[in-house]
Amino acid sequence: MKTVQVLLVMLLPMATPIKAQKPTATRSGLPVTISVFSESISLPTFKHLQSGGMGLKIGTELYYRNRPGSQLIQTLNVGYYRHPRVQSGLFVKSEFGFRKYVGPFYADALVGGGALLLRPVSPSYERDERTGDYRKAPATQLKFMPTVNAGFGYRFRNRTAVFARYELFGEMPFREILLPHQALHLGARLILQ
Amino acid sequence: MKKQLIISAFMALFLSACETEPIPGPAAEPGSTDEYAGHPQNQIYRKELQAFRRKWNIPGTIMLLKRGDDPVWIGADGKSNLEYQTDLRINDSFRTGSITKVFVATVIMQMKEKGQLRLEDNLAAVLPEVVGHIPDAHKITIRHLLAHTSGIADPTNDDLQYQLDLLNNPSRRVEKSTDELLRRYVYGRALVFQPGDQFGYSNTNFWLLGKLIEKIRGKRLPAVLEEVILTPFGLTHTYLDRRDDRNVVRGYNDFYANGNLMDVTAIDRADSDGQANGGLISTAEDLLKFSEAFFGGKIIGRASVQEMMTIQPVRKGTNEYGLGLESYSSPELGMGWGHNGTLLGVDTNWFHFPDAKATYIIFNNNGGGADKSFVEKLLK
Repeated sequence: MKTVQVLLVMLLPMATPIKAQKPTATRSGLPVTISVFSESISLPTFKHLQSGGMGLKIGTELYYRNRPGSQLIQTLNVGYYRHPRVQSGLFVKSEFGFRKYVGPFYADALVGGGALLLRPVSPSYERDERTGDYRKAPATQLKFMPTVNAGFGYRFRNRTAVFARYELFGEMPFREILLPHQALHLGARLILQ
Repeated sequence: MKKQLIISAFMALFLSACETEPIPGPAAEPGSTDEYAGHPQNQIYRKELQAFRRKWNIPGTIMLLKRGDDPVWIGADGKSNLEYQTDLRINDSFRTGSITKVFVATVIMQMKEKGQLRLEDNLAAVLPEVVGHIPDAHKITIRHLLAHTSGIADPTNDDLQYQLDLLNNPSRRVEKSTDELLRRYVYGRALVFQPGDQFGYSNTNFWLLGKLIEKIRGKRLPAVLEEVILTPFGLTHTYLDRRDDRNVVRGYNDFYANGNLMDVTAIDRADSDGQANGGLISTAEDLLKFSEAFFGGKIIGRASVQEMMTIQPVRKGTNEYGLGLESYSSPELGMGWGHNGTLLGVDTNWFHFPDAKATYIIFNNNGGGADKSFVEKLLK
């Protein structure tokens, strides 16, 4: 319940401009982003990249401002990753950010949050306070998933694009506040008519 | 309706694609949970043990008590493996964590007695390969390593990336040799303080001592421990090498801070097994054998034991550590010597109080920690 409350608070500032500015997809079609990503439990680092899990993310974008040289964006995404021998996660998240175009190239940065349904590989047990016995606990846990990411891409004439993206996300709550992950995405943005 | 179908399909994919770690069941071996029912204090000790385990949310606890000339008492309460609801037995093997350091320090002291090294030898002289990687290696002595006064960083406790790498891929950690660990997490880091200035617990000190033992003896550390301590003193259920031993008690921790205990054995195995800083696997009975032989001056001479039991002077702050041996001042029992051990899923203590002729050993399979001071009242 606490996780859901945190998620709602996080999404509130994003929801406000939605009401005020009525974001749109594009004038002609719905952008759909799809990316595959490698994920690892790590602090931000490029020096000692570790192998971890693989995942898939699918989403769309809404635009508060959609000019030829820049965009104010809100994303809506759903995704899944599997980190062998550690955990798997199913997430729904939304991000808000800015994208700048220079010719066909662009760079963007996004920040947001979402809900992460986590399933650790190792089993957990809960204690029956009455008897003191331990029994298997539910295998999944709902976590808040803060995320920040930045990427660059190339937009083709038909407005589809390919991109690479570096993302930091977390599992909250965790014993030390947050368990950090990093992910490297490769993907494409397609316009569905 | 269509949306619900899509969501259901996605959830089904999520749940079916999830793996669950298979927890190995213990092999059937003879053993008992209560061989000390005839001990005069059995009922009192057992009641206290049960209350302690329940208070601190520990799936399983083994406790050994030895007071004066009274007979030893060992009790076990709870479970060794929650998946199979296996009852913990008094002779079950535990990961002992940093109690390992006393065994390694004892080997070093034996080598000193044999003239194979001197405690004042410096790191640059005995392990020249660390020169240029560990600052002031010529100022750090073997004594500093044994006493945790070297100032060398401790990645296992102060390097978040070490801990995250361990969580990210426990198998990769298993594959890393001590040299790789040193290269990845220690070499190039500044000293936390100048050698001898203060006490700063660091597992790296014992990684280096393990390397030193192997270099001088020309054998792997587990083999040296076998030769010096385990075989001569009949510690038949104790070992340091990595084994796929499904009878070792499993470790648990409130890993996600949600009140549930997660099985963290895979992480503990990766982090400690085979390591000179905390890889020893033993039983309460074996540890008592070691305790009696060690404090009786049978493994190393009494002068060496006394030297280990001498708190090492530091220039700043205070110190309560000897040479690979921790002191503990008990209001009930006087000064005690031994060590504690902590892994993510394990909390162990072994202390001997020479003046009171008392010893206690406690093995818990919840690494979250617990106040064990009740034991001192039982031993008074």
